[in-house]
Amino acid sequence: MKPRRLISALLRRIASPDRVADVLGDLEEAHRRRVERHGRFVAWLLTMLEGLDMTLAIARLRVPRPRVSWLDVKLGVRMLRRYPGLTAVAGLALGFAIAIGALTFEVVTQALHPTLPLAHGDRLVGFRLWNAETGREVTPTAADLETWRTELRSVEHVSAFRSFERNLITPDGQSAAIFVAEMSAAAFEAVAIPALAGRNIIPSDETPGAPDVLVIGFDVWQERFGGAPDVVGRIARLGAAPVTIVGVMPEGFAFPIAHEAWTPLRLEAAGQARRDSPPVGFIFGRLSPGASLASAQAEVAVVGARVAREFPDTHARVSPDVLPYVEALIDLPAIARMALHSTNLAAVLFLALVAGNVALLMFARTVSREAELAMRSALGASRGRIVTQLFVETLVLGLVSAVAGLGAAAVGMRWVFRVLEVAVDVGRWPFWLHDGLSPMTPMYAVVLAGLVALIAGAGPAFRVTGTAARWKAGAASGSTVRFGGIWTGVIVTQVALTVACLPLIVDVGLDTSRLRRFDLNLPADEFVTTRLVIPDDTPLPAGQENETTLRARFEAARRAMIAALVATPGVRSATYGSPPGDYVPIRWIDVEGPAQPARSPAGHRPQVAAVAPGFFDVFGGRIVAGRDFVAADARDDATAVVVNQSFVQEVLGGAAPIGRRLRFRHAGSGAPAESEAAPQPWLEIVGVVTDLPLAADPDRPDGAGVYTSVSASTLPIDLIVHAPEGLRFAPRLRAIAARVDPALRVSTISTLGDLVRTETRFYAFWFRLSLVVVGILLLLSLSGIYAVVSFTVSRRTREIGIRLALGADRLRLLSEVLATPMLRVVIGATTGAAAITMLPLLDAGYVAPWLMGVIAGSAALVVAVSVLACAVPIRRALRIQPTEALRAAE
Amino acid sequence: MPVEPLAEFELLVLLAALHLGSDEAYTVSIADDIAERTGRPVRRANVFTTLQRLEAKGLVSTRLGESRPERGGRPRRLVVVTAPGLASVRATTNAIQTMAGRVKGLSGDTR
Repeated sequence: MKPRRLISALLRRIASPDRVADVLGDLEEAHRRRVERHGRFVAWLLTMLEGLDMTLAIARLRVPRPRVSWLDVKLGVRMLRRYPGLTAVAGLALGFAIAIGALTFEVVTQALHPTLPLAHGDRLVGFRLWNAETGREVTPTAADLETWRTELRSVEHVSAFRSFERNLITPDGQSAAIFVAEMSAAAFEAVAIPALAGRNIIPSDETPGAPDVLVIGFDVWQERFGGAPDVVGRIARLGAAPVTIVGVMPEGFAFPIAHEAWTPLRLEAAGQARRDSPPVGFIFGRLSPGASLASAQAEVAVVGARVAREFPDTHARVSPDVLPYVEALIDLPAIARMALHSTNLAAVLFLALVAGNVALLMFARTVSREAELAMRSALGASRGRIVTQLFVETLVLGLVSAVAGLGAAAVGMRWVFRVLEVAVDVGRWPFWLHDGLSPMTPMYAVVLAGLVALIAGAGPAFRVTGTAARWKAGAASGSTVRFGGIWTGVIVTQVALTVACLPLIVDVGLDTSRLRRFDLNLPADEFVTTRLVIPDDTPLPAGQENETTLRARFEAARRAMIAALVATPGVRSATYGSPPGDYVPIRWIDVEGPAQPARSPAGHRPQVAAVAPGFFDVFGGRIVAGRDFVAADARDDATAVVVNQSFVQEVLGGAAPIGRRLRFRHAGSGAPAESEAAPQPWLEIVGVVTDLPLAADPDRPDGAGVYTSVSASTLPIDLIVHAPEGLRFAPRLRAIAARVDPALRVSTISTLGDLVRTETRFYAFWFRLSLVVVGILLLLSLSGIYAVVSFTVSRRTREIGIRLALGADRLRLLSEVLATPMLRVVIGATTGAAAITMLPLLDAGYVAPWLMGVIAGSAALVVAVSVLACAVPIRRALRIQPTEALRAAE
Repeated sequence: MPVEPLAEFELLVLLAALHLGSDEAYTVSIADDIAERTGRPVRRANVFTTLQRLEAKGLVSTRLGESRPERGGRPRRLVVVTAPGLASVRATTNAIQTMAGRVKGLSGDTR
């Protein structure tokens, strides 16, 4: 194709014929010269580029330059007051959508681009070693640390740390695990934060043979030492080893990740370091003044190449990288990064959907102001000017919503943190994560408000002002503006989402209600529970460093704990096993011989808990057939299981259970992956116990339960103690553990009541959140439908009035007016109902009848409420007087 | 009547139009003239839009010349600098010369 022809086609769309002729003439003249100089092909290319350049330049000339005045802003504020209903609905919806957008942005920012709350946080860097041959990361050694520390000029205070958890046993005998960093003294210089009391770790502490010292964090000082002013100099025990407390760090200090105390990192002397020396964990440092990440990377690459030449046996294919601190420390997989970005995109799309619906309302409002806009147009206002005014009006609404949304996002962040703490048992957060909003987030919210104004303000404005030519021609009335396909899509989507969400909210609501009624049938706050473990990195006596020794030690500690506890005054009983009310898995099983048909075609899926002998007695359970577990069942190859009475009824149909066999279909508790799909060994039912409460999880399909025996090798293990004083027993529990074995780690102690309450709070949170989401979706859908019907009635005022005057049937007239909007509602409701029905079908293979009822009810409810939303415009339509209709036509 | 201040490229375009004369000044020749005399590359699109802007301000006027075979039979749109345009050129060049003249060692470079 000749370039002039293509350019000509483009130009004709945006410029007058004489201008097109000018440009084409210029292009032709320049093209002929180029053909002589460069040949046809190059000339074609250059002329094409120049033609596009010319086209763009002319297009830019045509784009109206926005002129925003304070008057537009004042008008925007006035519009908010003049249409309070629209302001409330749109503001609420936009505020919520912006809150979701800001919240997602904050989470993504903190995860992918965190800011370290340290004076030199942006200059802290970490080192990573990559083996090009294996494609894997290599853990750095003491020799690497020594090399980088002595040779690098662009990175200073090069340090390393290793983490471990150990019991801190205070002088009063209290024991609790703390998260400790074994860290170089230089690290304290890198972060430049002095101790609050005493001192930091100093280089002389790193010397092998130096006294063992410990620097504690503010929280440890407060909680474990009661904030004692003379804590510095006290001697405590870290596991079995005595340590002298030499300093207390300020509140909030948790460097390098979420650490609570620090000990010196002791390595071999430089001259003795070997390439195959033990790993040092993570190496980091601070960029020297004037150095950049790029210059540091260049220097490290040079040093890395030299090391590779000198030590080809270990470092031939190893290359070092310097990265920002958190990026080097936490290697977030590409899929996780993509998931975070996708979530952010989804939040923006949700906002766009909401803004699309608000656009519908704005469109209806703008059309109702057609006469005013036509007047302004007649007085000389350009289309660009009117669009700018409507854009600014919506921007004001968007900004007000953004302020409200940011407030909601700030509250939401705290919720997110609390929910994550409950849901994934985070413990302590990395010190750079926080539950507030970063400075970038408000700016992002403003950008979102701009996007809202573009979609909900400029979009409808362009569409309505498309009739400007008609206005100028004096045809201000009888506009032919119509709702387009996009807005039809918006309404259908929202109705579908509303119908799909209603059953979910009913489900969550029922779950929450069931959970509130969940009763352990025992004084739950008299039972305390915790998790016991002896960590793998616990120092063992020389010559005994192997896993078997550690497990044997743990097993002995377990037995000693029970013996010590039951001998303690105030303790009624103690046992190991899954705490009632806490999570237990549900697992697909196969039963040998005849069994009752399961609710799901896939089979039976009882809850499975591991318990120790005597567990049932502690909770008032009674063996009604067969026997309880015995010590021999703790062997790893033992096959005994105990089932509850519900299992006998629901799975075996009441048949004699003792001696029957069952097996787990696969190793995990979720959907079978290929690797774990192999059936497990057959297990024999040796006893039946009365029903005891299992998990406080309302989603469990039935009350059937299978108990397996905790094996001797189970590590860690849940301890449950019946002590009527409840949580007040916790300090004594810790002291007993410290006496039994200083390395025995006791995690958080809570009561069974706490476990159930936590679970209830979690569900209540989701219920409230679902209510808000569905409420807003419903509100938006209904307001959208209202806008459509209202718009249709106002467009057809004249026709309706005249037809009524001529005696038209009111019902028929109504059905005509409502046909199109109600068709959209029905399509949306059907789509939503179909989509939500697929979820349980795909998950469990069947849809419970009650759920089918809820889905059908939701669809019917949305349709019914939509009809109600039409009531006001319908009433208006039926009251139209012929005189009014004729006046509207003038 | 107030004199319209000129941006640098507007000044160059007007000077080229004055230099070429009303029978030879049009987009292509003006772009070539500026490129040749200043030694810097000039996009014809910029010349075109600048001329449109100057015409809107009343600093130039245009008329169609005769049809030209090298332009595919289309005429050139010839540019004539108007009296206000000439006044703007004078005011801007005077301002530049006055300012440059006060800077030592620069006068020789501002010919």
